[in-house]
This record gives sequence, structure tokens and C-alpha cells, in this order.
Amino acid sequence: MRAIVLCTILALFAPVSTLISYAQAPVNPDISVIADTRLSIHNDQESRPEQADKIQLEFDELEIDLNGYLNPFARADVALALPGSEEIIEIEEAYLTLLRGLPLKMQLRIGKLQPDFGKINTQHPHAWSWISRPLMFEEVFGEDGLHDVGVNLSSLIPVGSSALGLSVTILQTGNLINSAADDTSITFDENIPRSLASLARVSLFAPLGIYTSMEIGFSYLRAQEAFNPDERQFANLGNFDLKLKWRPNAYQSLALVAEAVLNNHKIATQDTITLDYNVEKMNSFGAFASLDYQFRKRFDVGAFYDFTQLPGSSDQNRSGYGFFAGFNLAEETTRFGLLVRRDQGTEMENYNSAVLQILWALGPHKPHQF
Amino acid sequence: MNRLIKAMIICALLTHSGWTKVKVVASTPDLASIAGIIGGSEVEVISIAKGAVNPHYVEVLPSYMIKVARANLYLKVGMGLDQWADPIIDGSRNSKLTIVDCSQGVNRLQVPTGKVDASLGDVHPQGNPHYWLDPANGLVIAANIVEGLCKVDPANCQAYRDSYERFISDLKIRFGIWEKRAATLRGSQIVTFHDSWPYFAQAFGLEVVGFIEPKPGIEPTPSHTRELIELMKGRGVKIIGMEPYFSNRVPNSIAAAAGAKVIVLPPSVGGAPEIKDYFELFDTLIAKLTTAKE
Repeated sequence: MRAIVLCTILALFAPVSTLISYAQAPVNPDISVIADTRLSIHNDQESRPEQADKIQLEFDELEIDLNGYLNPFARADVALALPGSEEIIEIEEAYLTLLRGLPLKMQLRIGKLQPDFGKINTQHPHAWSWISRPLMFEEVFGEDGLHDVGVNLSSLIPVGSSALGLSVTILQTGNLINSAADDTSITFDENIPRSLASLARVSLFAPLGIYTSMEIGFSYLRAQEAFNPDERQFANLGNFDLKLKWRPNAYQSLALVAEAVLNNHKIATQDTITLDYNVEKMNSFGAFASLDYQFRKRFDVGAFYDFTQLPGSSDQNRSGYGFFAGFNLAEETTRFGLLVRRDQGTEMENYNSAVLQILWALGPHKPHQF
Repeated sequence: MNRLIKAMIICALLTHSGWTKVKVVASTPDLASIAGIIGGSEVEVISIAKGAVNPHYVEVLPSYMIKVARANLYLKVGMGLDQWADPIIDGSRNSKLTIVDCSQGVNRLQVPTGKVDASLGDVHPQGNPHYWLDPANGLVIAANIVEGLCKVDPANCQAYRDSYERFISDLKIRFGIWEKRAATLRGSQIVTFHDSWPYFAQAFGLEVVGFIEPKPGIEPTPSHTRELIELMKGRGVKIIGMEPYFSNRVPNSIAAAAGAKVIVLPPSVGGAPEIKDYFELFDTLIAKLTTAKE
């Protein structure tokens, strides 16, 4: 009997294993390397006095991208980051996408990913003309933005000539709600268990004529607060994003990008004697807007405004504004970007900064597409 | 019972009307035009790139994805020209889509034999991808499209093959006419903005002696511009042909310095208002060149 079962199993698996061995196509994935070198100067005497008024040349980051199809139904995307200041390799993204074949024309992404919460958070920093991460995201998600292990299901529904996008993500994360700037705010505690956060985004992409298009999106995030693991408290974040783009030809374009975040969360202070938590509800708001004009194909100039209330205290805020310019040498593979920025806020000294960014890319993944 | 029969008759009629047309999306209007000629009333064809837009650079938009989501057949240019089509196709989530690479079987020019890297500019490892500009390759494109249409709509396969036969004879007759009209162009030297024209030049006997771009996809530089002016003066080149999606600033200044004239040569259907199909593309190109030569 055992022999029959064994033979049956072998018979079932024999053709499969043969198929697998022949199915391994000897094709390498697309491999790209993007390097970000920066020459910067600032007069921030308050938080970075040792560097103030000195020109800094630093290697900000090296990104390694591996992208390719696994089979006709799936692809894999990997983005590794090597920050110049640290000798570590960080997995920015590494996920599998089931492209087709799912019901209702859905796509499934699973792995470490940047979830659909607004538009800016889904982009890698080298794609931003304004160079630095908007303050509202830096305050809530930290310097690296929101990215963690999760499952994302998305669909695209035709609405006339427009496209309605629906996206739902479950994210396993432990560092969602934090504020680097203020001690009274919710603080990430590495010792607490990681928890699941749920995200959803609804977007509408609409062509407005031949050369103009608009995309608006609403995102929602519900995540457990990173304090008092015994008492589950949740933060609710809403995001509105807008992109308007006019692109009559490859030589010029005008793009307006705007996002706003409303952060409804709790602030906890712990009684030093009873160790009880005193929980207080808090709303904070942040917004970012940028206008970018591309001309003569390889040049662009623009301005931005950046504002956020601190998640730990909505009475306090930070804001910044400035100008940026970019020049692509020959093609999109070598870009020089300039950022001139003024930062200000409550209970902080104003300061100015300037950054010259040199981006280059080897391989098919371009750092800043025309 | 009568209602049921009526409903069935209406359904049967609908399946033979526009409701069941084969939906074809093409990367470029040239492929779309040939698909429209072959498919006739059985197909509904749209193009992602427009005729006056550089087909190398097409922004991947969700509105394109939903067009492909509804399609039965996608026609790619291939040879690395429309790499933007892959994310559009992936974004469409269409598991029933048949994809045809129309470059299969075409006579390829400028296939690099040595190492290809970015120092050569935007060189395509599989050869120059502007192959539709040779009418002989139009026949190959049409044959590829017929195979794709037969795959997605076997019921009308014979009709597509019949259309293909008519397309062959029509194109051959027109090619004879174009050759006669272009007789004065044989051996003529021209300069073009981008290296889009080797297939057209081979078909009609033109000689492309230089490019405004120093290397494919690279914007003109002052030193290259000076060299090009000297070359044009030395060889007596009097025509600069430029695609409609490039800036005419540099070509105009070169033409003024070299005593030449700039003409806009649309390399695709829809690149000028009068070019409504694949045949009119060659009508217009030959008319523009012969007029400029006079």
C-alpha cells in the first residue's frame, strides 16, 4: 500500500519537477544603482550647531534596485538603500506583485513596501524636485517615511475616460506614530509588540484635455498608538492629495503637487508614581504644496511651501518654504538639483539652508524622469 | 415565450454588432492605422502615443491602463522603443490580453555588433526601432497583426486574411507610385534631428549624412553644431528634416548658417493634420521632401 502511495506521489510530482527545471529562464533582472551626493550649508545654530555655517559634502544614499518578472503573472521589485552615514543595508522595499489573473482585475503586493498613503510617501526621495521629505511626513512617520511589511490589494475601475483607483493595505508596523521633534509626543517604543495598521486609498485620475491631467486621492490610516500596550489606543490619519499636470510636449511641463494630512491621535503622559497613563486626544495638521515648471526638457524650476503642526503639541508648528532648480546633463541619468530653503516655527530659531544635490543612475531605473 | 425569443434575437444581433468588436490598443498610431485597415469594421483601434508626440517618451498614466484593461489585443512597436508599454500593460491587470510585438520578422537596421552602453546615447541593442517607415516592413507589421487578430477573434480570421491580401496589393501599387514621385530624391543628402529615418532612407534612396543630436537622445551641443554646419557646407546639404516634437531652435540656426532649409517630417500617422492613415504618411513625407528639393 505504502509503495503504491509513494509511486503515486512520485508520479504526480515528476512532471512538475521537470517543468520547474526547464521553466527557469536564464534572464537577469533589471539592475539599477542610484547615488545621491550632496553639498550643503545651513545656519541652524540651535539643533545642529557643530555643522552650522560650514560647507558639508556628504554621500547621502546609494539605492540599489532590482526589478523583473518572475513569470507571466508576477514580478518582484527590490530597493535596497545604503545610507552614506551608516554602514548598513536597509531594505526600503522588497515585494512580490501578482499582476494579473486575480478576480475583479485586482493586483496583490506582498512584502516590504511603501503603502498607498498619499502620493509623496509612495515615491523614493530621488524623484522629488524639492529634495527633502515634507515636514508632516517626517514628523509622523520619521525620516524614512512609511514603509514596512504588508499586503496590498488594489484595483483600477474605468469611469468614462477616467480611472478610479482603490487600494487597501494591511501593514505590520511598529513605528507608525512618532515625533522626533518633541519629547511630549507619542514615542516609538521598540519593545512593544508590532501591530497591524490598516490603510485605504481612493483616487481618481482624470484627463483634462490632451495635455492636462489631474489626480486626486483620499487616504485613511488607522494604526495602534505606540504606547501602553495593555490599553489599545488608535490613531486615525486622513490624507488628501492632488496632482495637476500640464505637459504639452517633452520640452515643457507644469506640475502642481499638494498634500494635506490630518492626524487624530492620542497623547499619553505617564504618572511617575502610579505609572498610570493620562491619555489626551489631539488633532494635528500638515500640508505641503509644490509647483514645478520644466522647460527646455532638461531644466526645471519651482517653489514649495511646507507646514506641519507637531503631533505632540498642536500649539507648536514648523514650516518651511523655498525654491528649487534642476538640470539634467544630457539625459535623465545625471541630475544636478539645487534647493534653497528657509525653516521656521514656534519655539525654534529660524534658519536657512542650501543643498546642491548630484544624482546619477546606472541602469534602467531613472532617478528623476522627465 | 415570445419575449424570450425576442431577447435571444436581440442578443444574437448584438453579438454581431459593435458590442463585440475586437478592441485593439496600439503603442503608436502607425500600428493602429494598419490594424484599422486590416480589421475594418470588426475592430475598434486606439493608440496610446499620439502622432505628434515623441514615441520614446510616453508618460505612464492610469487612463492608458484602463484602455488596455478593456482590450483584447495590444500591439507593441518593440525593439526597445515603447518600453513604457510594459507598466501600462501590467497596470491594466488584463489577464486575457494578447500581446503582439510587431517588430517580429522585420528587416532590422543598425543592430549593434559591439558593446552597447549609455556612452553611445539612446542606442537600442536590438537595432533602430523606426522600422515602420519602410513600406516593406509595413507588410510584416500587417502580417503580425493578422496573426494577433486571428488569435483573439478566430471566427473572423479569414476576413482578416482577406484584408491582408488587399493591403499587400494596395501597398505594392502605392509603393510604385511613391517610388516614381521620390525618384528625384535618390542620392539626395539630408540631415535629420534624430536617427528616425534609416528605413525610409533605404526605401527611397536618400542619404542621411548627419544628425542634430550628437548621439541618439542627446540634446545638441555647440561643438557638434559647429561640426554639423561645416559638414553641411562641405557636402552641400540643403535640407534638414526634423520630427514635429523637437524644438526647431537649433535646426533653424544651423539651417541659417549652412544655407539650408528646415522641413518638418512627421514620422507617424497623425503627426500632421493631413496624415490620417499609414498610406498618407508616405504621401506626405514624399511630398514634403520633393517640394523641399525643388
